[in-house]
Amino acid sequence: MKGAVFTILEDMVLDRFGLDTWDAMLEHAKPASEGVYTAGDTYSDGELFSLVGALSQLTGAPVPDLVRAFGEYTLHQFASLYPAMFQDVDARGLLRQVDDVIHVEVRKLYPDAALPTFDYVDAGADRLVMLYRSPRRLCTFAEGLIEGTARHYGVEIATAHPRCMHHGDDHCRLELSFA
Amino acid sequence: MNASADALARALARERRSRKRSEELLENRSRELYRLNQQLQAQNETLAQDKRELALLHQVATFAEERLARAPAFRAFVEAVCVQCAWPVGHVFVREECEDGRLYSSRIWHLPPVEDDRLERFRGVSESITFASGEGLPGRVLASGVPVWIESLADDANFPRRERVAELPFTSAFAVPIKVAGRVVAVAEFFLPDARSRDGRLLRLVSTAAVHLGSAFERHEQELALAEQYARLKTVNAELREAQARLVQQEKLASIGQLAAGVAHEINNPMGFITSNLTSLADYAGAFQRALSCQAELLDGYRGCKEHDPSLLRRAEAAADGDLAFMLEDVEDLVRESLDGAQRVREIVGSLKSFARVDQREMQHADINECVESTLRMAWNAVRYHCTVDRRLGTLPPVRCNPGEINQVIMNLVVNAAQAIDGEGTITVETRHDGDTVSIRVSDTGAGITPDAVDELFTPFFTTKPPGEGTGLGLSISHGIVERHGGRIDVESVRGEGSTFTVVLPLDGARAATGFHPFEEHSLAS
Repeated sequence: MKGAVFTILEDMVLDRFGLDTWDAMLEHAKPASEGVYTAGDTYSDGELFSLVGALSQLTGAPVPDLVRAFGEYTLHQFASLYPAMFQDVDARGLLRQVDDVIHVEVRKLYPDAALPTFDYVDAGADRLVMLYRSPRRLCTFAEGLIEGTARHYGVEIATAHPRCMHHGDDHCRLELSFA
Repeated sequence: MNASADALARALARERRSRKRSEELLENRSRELYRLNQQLQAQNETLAQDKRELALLHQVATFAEERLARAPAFRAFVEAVCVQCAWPVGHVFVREECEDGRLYSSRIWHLPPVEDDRLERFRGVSESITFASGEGLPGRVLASGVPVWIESLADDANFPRRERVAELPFTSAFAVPIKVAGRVVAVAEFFLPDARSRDGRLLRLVSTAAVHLGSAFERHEQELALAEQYARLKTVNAELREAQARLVQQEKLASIGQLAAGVAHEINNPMGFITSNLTSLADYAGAFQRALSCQAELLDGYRGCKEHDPSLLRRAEAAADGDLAFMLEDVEDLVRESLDGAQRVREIVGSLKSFARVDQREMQHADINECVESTLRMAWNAVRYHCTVDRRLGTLPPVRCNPGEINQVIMNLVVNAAQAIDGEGTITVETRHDGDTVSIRVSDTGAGITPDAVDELFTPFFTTKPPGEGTGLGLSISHGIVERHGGRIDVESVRGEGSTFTVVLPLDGARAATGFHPFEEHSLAS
């Protein structure tokens, strides 16, 4: 997993819980990298999961909630880092082009990034179905990104999740309704 | 939010390590970028070279398409190679046409636009020197048929031009053969002031261009040969057609001649006894006249006698009376006129025989005026109804010619003149002696000929007459006949006023008689 994900997680923990909590998480999880994260480098997926697990233990919050919050925070970070990406497009448009535009841009910066894939079912102007596939099964992270998007644009997006890789499906089906 | 000092210290340590790692990643990325850049530059260079090569091949293909002659093609080739490959000096040696021909300068150069005495000297020497196979740079290419590269001209053992100039303005050189049908016809050499080691790619490129050039020459020359062959075939074909037409015409005339000779013979016999009988008849008429005048005297005497029988006298007077004397007188005229007529028949028959004597191909001394007269007699029928014939025959020396053929020419001109006259008109036939030629002018007051048609007049099968009236062969055959006699036919024509054809014949005729009898010269000479 790209180091950028870890530095955003570190930023979120420092923002929300403080340096002591981040320090304690590292102490708890004992990642191979010893917590030295650089955006351009690559680290094992396991480090992320054990860090989130440590945060859950330290704060008592469930892992899926933390991952969702991490997704939302990540979108917030993206919006301040790459504002151009959010211009000239609405919430549905942004989500619609994750696979075709945003991931293409990601590959320009990090050619070796392992990215999830999204397939889309266009179900009308105010609806969008996103089919998520990733061996990391971080569908809750995707939900957090969607929530962050709704907040960024000041719209409401109702998300249903009728199929999930955590329940034995080969993909997650995220059905979005825009209000 | 207060963090513990230990946590802060650890965070700082992590930050420092993280920064170092970032810098390391950045350096790696920079190195990678540098490498990629280098690679791109190399690719760019390759592409630019490919482009130059394509441009060169394209140029060569283009002027090869344009079917340039050799010299301009060599010039374009040397120029294209020098410009596209950035070699400043190029020069072409060409080969003498013979089998073991030497190479000599074509004086075709590509030179940089600078004044350089060394270059001028080198040029002068190159243009004055020739190379046998194996000699010098061009000779080596000629001998091997493959390109030769010299990295250092100063160290080359086989570069004779070096000894003849004080200082060479070049360091490296290469040369390629230009082949047509597998034979080296030229060698193009190129020079560079800098040292350059053998560049296989450049050699292959220029050789390929030279091959293109050579095959373009080959194609071009094949096309030329084909066109030449075609033209020759066309001429031969036209000659054959003409010969065939002449043969047909001659055959026709020969048959008419035979027929005429037969008819003339048949007519001559009865004409013989008619003439002879008429002569006898004239003698008899004289005798009758003499007897009659005797009888008149007798009657006068008898009337004076006393014992005459009056009824006998009356009957005798009645018989001698009136028309008898006149009849006897008239018989004389009748017989004379009949004899004149018979004489004319004999003349016409004689003309027919002499006119149609096409089988007689020997050159002989003939009276052209006689030819004119006999032809006019023959043409009389075609002419007499609407034309007046004005004869202006000069005094002519004998002309060495084939009279049968000359008759044919005059006949043709007279018949054409008669046909050109629509309604009434005059045909003037004039002969004249002028130095060592005689001329026969046939003028008419007819329609005249358009200038376009004048150009075509002597072309076989060209005719201005309606279908069925002319074969288009008359004038072309006449032209052939006059030409064989070493003479010429001139035409002057004014639309609406008439045409004049003038046949000029040399007195001694042409030594070559006709194209049909190759042994005639020989038989005449022996």
